[in-house]
Amino acid sequence: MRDWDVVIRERLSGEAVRGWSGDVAAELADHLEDLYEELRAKGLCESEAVARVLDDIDWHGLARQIRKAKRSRHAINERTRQLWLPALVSLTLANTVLMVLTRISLGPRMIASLSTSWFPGISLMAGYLPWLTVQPVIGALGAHFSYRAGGSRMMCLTAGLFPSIVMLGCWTCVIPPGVLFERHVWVMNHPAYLALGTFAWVVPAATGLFFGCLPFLCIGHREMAPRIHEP
Amino acid sequence: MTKPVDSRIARGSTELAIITLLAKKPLYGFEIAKRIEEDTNGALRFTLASLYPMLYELENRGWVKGKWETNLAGRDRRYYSLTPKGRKRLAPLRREWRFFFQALDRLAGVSRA
Repeated sequence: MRDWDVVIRERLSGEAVRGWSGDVAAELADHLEDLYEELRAKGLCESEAVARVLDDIDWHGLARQIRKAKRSRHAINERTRQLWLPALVSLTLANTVLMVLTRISLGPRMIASLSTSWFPGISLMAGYLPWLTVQPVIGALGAHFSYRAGGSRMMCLTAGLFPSIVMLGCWTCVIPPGVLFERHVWVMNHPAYLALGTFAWVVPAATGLFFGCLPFLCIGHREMAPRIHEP
Repeated sequence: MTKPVDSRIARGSTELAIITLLAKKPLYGFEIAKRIEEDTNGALRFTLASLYPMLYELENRGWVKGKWETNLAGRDRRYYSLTPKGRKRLAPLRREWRFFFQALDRLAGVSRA
């Protein structure tokens, strides 16, 4: 089989083919190979068949037409289906569970009952620990939806880890400016607690989410050939 | 073999030709082009540059869905199938074309040519 993929990339070099996935090049290469085989079967020699296959293709027009056909909704829809929606599902689930557990665990009755137990600090963990235990399920759901929509491994992983990515963003980009803005003296004097908070709310949860994603990273994905980019 | 129809005329018929074929069974790009050429006795011919942009546009509209599958020879092909949305569009599209032909016939007497 001839390497039509390379031919396509050569012919399209210099073309603005932003947004093309490797799938498009692979599909066009398949078409050229079929055409080539047909011409060879008709008795044309190799060079003639190649020339005929590549004859009459307006590469510039082809790139423009495909770009136009794919630009309007498809590019946005595919990414939305494969990444943003699954990510939103995992983020919403993680935050809803956290909200519910926080409301339950911070109820006076719950704090009172737990504080009398053998470890008073457990009352603070009453919402946190169950939240951590459901992270693999949430990560798995995010990765599953992304996988079902045809997302790559990276998209599955990002969708699954999204709650922790957002949490990291909050702890690094939202909370520190908030502390400064509100002149929270205690936190400003104890920055290590901010780092500890970041660690506690991001790393264990991300680990749980990652374990949930893991099965979807191991099963087969259709790997995309490299995208053709503008030079 | 019939003389191919002028590409400017043929262009408009591409979507009807494609979804009519895909209503029967899923096909890959080259197969679609060949079937159209054979079924129209060579009057309609679609090249790489005319077929794939239309396929992607139809996919974009949600009328067809492309899926990579490995055939018996072990080769990966992107098979296109008609979605329920595309199937719903088939009858109205056929009607539109019939009205168009009737209108054109009244105007230009194409059936008597």
